Amino acid sequence: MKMQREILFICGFSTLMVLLFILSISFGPVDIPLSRIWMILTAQERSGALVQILNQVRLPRSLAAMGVGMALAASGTVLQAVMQNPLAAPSLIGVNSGAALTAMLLLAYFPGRPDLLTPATFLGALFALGLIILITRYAPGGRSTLILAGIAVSALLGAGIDTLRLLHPEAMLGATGFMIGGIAGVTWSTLRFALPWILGGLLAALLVGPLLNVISLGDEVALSLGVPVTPVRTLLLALAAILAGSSVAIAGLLGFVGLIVPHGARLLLGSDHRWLIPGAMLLGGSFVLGCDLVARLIFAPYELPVGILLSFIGGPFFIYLLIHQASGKADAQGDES
Amino acid sequence: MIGVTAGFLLQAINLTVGYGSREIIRDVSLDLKPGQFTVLIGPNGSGKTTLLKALARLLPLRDGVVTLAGRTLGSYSQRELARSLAVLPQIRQTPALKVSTLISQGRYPHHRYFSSFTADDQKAIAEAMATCKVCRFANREMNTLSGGERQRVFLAMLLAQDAELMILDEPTTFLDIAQQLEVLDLLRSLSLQGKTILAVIHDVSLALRYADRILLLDGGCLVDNLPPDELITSGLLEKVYGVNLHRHAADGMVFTNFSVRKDTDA
Repeated sequence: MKMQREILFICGFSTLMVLLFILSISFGPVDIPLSRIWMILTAQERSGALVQILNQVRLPRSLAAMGVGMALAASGTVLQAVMQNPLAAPSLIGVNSGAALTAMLLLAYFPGRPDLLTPATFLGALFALGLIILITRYAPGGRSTLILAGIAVSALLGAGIDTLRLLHPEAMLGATGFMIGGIAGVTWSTLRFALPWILGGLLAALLVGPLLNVISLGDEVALSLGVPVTPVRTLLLALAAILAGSSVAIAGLLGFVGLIVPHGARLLLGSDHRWLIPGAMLLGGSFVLGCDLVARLIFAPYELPVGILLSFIGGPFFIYLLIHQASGKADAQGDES
Repeated sequence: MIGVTAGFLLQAINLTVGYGSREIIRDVSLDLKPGQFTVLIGPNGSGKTTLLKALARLLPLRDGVVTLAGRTLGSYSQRELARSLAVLPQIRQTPALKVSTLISQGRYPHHRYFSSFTADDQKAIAEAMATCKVCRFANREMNTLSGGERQRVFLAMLLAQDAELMILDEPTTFLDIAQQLEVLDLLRSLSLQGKTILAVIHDVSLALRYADRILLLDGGCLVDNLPPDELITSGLLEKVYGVNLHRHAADGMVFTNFSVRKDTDA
């Protein structure tokens, strides 16, 4: 069967993610042996320190890592297909900054409404995407224009964030962690409001694979194949904004996941989005779970925020991509007559 | 199907198209008969691509009407239009897809979103692959193919779309001469099987040899719509391109060639 390769990869990625999830709830300052985890999860052990650690610290944290990784990877994959640009990642083009700005606005002016956090980050992400689309429509140039527009938008939104932090220092207790990106302090109360959005977004992303295949052939080919490009692209961008926004609501400004993971998945699975989307999700979940585990253990008993580790990995990878993209031949052939 | 009974599959009346303040196409009227292979030629900048895009509803019209099978283009939904009109634009990415996956995208307007491919889909894909001779590398990745092979794959995708009218913008550009002839032979055999084809071909000699009719565009205006023989004897080609035209026969075929016109001082 010709599909076997893709199915094998998906099974492999799923196994990897489940394994990393188990390791992630098991290892930490206090290790919880697998047998005890089983007993706690099946409610044979109901009290004690380990039960508290597992239920109140490890489980929300690992779920957050997995959900955020899956969502950011899916968001990046959707953005790259819709914008037809392999550098389109939510953290690079200012989408995460937009989400962070509205999150800060909510914390400053409507404190005590955690239920509104994800809708707010979604609107912020969508706002940043709108700005990016406007700029790239009027600015000439190739693929790197998107990155330049992203720098401009990030700077603008960053200035807004900094102003808010100055004006409302009291509301920004967790802001430093928020700016670096991390999931160390994630609690059920944060997760409860964001996870439904992530789940809905992931489900929708799994369904749009065939549409992304057509859209990624270019606007004119997609139109000619019967896709009403403008409304469809708007909906897909909104989907990417939901995924990126809900991740920011949980983990703050985690960078590079939406850039690295779709690339890795594409290398292994190719560009057929029916496979690429689930593949990128599973790899993204595994990647953030793995990074969080390493960040937790590498300088134990001290913890590195996972955002810092991601930047150490993502920065060099981004430089590699820039060089590779610049030297690689352009995809478009011919010129207009 | 009023338009077809009237003898035309596509009819354009008084088209004016432009970008911003510039008018690229001015007052062009044309018609395409079913089963005809029509080639659009004209000097660089004469508006060939713009005209094709307007006919395919990829650009808005400033003025005029396009009808397809008797209905105005504007009355079609995007999906409906895709079942009747297939377009191969000139600028396109080479997607990192498997050949068979790319060709199957041509079925997008035909099958329901969440259903898998039906027997009809499979049949259309298999036929398109056989016609375009791409079965041999059906499981290869697009970026491992040569330019000519890629072009045949895109043609197969277009063919799998199973539309009555196919519009192609420079399908032979960037191909070597053998590959150009291969593509043109394929287009002609498709028109003999009943497809209506409109293509921009840069090489005028090849266009004259393969087309049933030639649309000659100059400065955004349609100079004429003639069969190749009549166009050759009309003297219009010499005038529009500013060259001398030569005809010679060999192997039972008539070839045309061009040389610099010495007497043009302007």
